[in-house]
Amino acid sequence: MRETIHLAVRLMLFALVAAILLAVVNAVTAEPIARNDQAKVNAARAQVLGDYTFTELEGDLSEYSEILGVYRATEGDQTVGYVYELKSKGYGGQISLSVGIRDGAISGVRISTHSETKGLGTSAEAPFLEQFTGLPASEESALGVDAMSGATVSSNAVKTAVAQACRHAEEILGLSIAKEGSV
Amino acid sequence: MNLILILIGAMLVNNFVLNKFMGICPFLGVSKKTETAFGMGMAVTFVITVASLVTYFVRQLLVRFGLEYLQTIAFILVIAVLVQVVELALRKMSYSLYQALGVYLPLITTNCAVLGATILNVDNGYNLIESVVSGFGGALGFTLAIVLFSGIREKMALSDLPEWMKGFPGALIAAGLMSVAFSGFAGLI
Amino acid sequence: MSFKELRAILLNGILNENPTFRLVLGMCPTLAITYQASNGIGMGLATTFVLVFSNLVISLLRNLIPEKIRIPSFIIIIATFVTIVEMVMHAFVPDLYDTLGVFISLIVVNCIIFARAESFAFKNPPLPSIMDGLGMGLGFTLAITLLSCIRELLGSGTIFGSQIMPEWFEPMGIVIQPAGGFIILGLLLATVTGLSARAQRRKEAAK
Repeated sequence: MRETIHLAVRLMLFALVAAILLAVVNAVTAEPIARNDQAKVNAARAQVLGDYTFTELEGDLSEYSEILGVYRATEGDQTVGYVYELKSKGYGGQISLSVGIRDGAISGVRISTHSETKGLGTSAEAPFLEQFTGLPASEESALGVDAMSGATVSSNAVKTAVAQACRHAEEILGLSIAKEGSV
Repeated sequence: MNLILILIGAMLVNNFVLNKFMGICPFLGVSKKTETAFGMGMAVTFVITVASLVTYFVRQLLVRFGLEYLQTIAFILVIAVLVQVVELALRKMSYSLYQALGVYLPLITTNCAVLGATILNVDNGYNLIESVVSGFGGALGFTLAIVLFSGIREKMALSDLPEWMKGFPGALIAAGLMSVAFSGFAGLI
Repeated sequence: MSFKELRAILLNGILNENPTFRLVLGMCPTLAITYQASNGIGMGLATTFVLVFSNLVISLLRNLIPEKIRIPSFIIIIATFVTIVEMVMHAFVPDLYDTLGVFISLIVVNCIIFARAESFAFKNPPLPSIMDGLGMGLGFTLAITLLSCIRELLGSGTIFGSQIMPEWFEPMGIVIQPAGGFIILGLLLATVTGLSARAQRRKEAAK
């Protein structure tokens, strides 16, 4: 019994030293980590819309199963556009993507993480996403984009997510859709 | 419905061994005989399921005190304790299985699938029930893979392979072919 | 301990007892992250760091750790260094941290580190233990970098992201998928086994 207690105390001591050591390292790295994470989020939004101040919109998203968050981009007090963060079910799991909408048109689509088959479609990804840029922000135009060959499921996942963002923009934000070719 | 998707997804589509490369050590090490492979699978299933449950509460506790950075160390200690419990229980209940699993029993602690399952639960933001279902499904997938693989290896042991293909090289290539077969499950969910 | 013996320990990990090709340990990261060359180097160096420091600390504390609680003590020590690596990588090389993902935390359960703690560091003084950790770590790094270069070259036609293969080469997608990992490693292991068996036979024939 005494020996057990002795061993337990010794083990606790090791654990305590380890915890203290980690607390010190954490204190040093916490700030750069937070900065990196923030920078990553901002970079994704800046790529689909531009470098503005983003504030999250409040509101009920239960009608829109794939939308994680909607962000209003402002410059001064002028609203420039909106960024949607979405997740969609692809071939091998979740695809996370951001969609920018500005002046009734899609300003950009970008995939942040996905677990689709590695290598397949990576070269096709950029031209596929490029097709969305400049399209009127309506469901039909988003769904009308050509799929990547050999990656139909992934392509459809992206298209439905973008379409849902457009539907939200039209129904909830009341944005008017740009005419084809006007952008 | 969502739970069924998580179960099937963890078991077949994102199979620990053949798709995520977790738990390769026991997969290669304890797969020479179907019987021991099944025993190993069951032991791992138990540990992963209980670990998913316990680490959920541990995670809540760590978040409460702002100690998220202790996650790895806390999770692995929980798993080590669970493995000890399984070891004691097996020795009492089935001594033959205990001997057959031999050195690999304490090695469940260092089976990436166990720690991996608990960390993936956190990364995916699963709630308590989802965590347990996903852990259980993943563990069943591990059992399925290791039992099927042991069947292949029992046959391979009897076949006339070139000297340099015997043992690990041949086993790895067979595992690769199995992985091709399992990739057919992708797109199921 | 002489310089010669230390060098022998270092080389032992890189060649004779190479963790990947000879001991066949630590297979999970070896297969999982080796689809591009930069991952191989990153994972290899992170593991080497953990190996060297856990070996050092375990060797220093080997008289303070009672036999009975050595396993939990090893776990605590290894997990501590892994968490340090994880935080440092998250803070200073965020891109690599994102690609390696959960496999950084999973260095904790890399069998190589455990095996070296148990079979070497717990029985030897600090200096040889550091050498052993360094040798094993570098052996692991070299092996997985080699594997990841082969996979990236065949699967994407590049090495470290720069185009190597000529224009007409159609990348073999399967090589960077899980199945390809198993098969390429199997072929690589078969080659190493075959070559070393041949060297052995030559040596015996020369006698």
